[in-house]
Amino acid sequence: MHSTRNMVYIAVFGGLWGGSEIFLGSILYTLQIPMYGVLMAGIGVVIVLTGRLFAPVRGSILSMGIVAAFLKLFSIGNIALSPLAAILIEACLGEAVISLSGRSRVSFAAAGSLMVVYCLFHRFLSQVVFYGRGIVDVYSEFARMASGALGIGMEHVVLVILVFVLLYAVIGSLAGILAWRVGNRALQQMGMRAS
Amino acid sequence: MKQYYSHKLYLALFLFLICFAILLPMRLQYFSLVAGSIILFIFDASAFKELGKIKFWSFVVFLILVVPFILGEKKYILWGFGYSGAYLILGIQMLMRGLSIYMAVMLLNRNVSIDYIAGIFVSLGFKDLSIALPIALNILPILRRNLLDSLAVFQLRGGFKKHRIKNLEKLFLAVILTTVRTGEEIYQILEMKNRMVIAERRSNNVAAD
Repeated sequence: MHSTRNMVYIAVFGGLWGGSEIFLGSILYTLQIPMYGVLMAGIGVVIVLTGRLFAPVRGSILSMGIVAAFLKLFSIGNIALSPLAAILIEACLGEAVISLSGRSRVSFAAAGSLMVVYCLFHRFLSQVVFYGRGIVDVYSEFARMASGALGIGMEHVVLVILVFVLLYAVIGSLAGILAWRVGNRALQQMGMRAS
Repeated sequence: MKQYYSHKLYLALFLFLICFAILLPMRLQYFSLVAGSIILFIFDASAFKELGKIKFWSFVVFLILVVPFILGEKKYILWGFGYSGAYLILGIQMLMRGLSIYMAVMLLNRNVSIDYIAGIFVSLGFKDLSIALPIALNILPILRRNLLDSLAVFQLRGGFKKHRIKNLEKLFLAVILTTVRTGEEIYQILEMKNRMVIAERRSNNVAAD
């Protein structure tokens, strides 16, 4: 059981994450902004990792994720499994990294990069759950065909995917570092000390 | 919608259908489709009307009608175009698995409330959720107003015209600080209420003595 203050912080930061997913996410989705998923994941990373500094207990990131996921579900109006799973898995990844490696700038960057990289693979993974391993065959065959049509080797296709992963990882780690800086400055300004 | 059966039953049926579809090999996926159809027919027949969502079927059209014409060895001719029998069969198998999982998700969507799912998380050990979730729901309008106010102030101070990264940090800091202040106010109110309850109990005990 968390203390009252930690519980309140879990509620407000989870609420902020869920709220940003509802308000900003719906606007960006409607405007069809390219790569809006990574933007939302980055914002989520900053909020939830900053929240971890204010509620410095094990499991707080996961609890914030659950709060955010349920707010998203309430806004949709029914049980949409994909956003629920995406937010919960992101929160689990963040929680695992911070719980294992403690709170530091490096661990925040690692947690952020892992959380944002996951959002790159979420759609693909949910399609694997839905349609089975056959979808992997279809996509890999398409990749092979595209590499043949463009006259480049399969290793270049893998390279392109790796570049994307790296780009997402960099964005995530920047979001993590931003969370560390903003969180510590906010703690200073509020006259609190990171425990 | 009228609730005929318990949430627990629908959740069990959902889990059964998902596990059945995932564990069954691709060549036997018609069993999962049959199981899904029977369960949906018995427990929520009106859900069949909702099966026509375009997003799902557009991907099915892609899998069955487009993929076999593009990928694989073209052994057969259809409408003058060669198509791959292996990819057609794979597409149909994927359709059957996707459809059965889709039915399971629909069964859950239409019959199990979000509150019930939240209750499951609480019973799994996330006891704070029963308090944190109502707080989060109630402060959403406040957080939204804080967010919009921070954005307005940020724009008045020049927005992203200069020192973009520094200003982004300032924007996040403003949003986080307003959120923390809101959290502190809620915490003070909760603490005050707790103290009042304790004081009331004590005075009741004294009066009883």
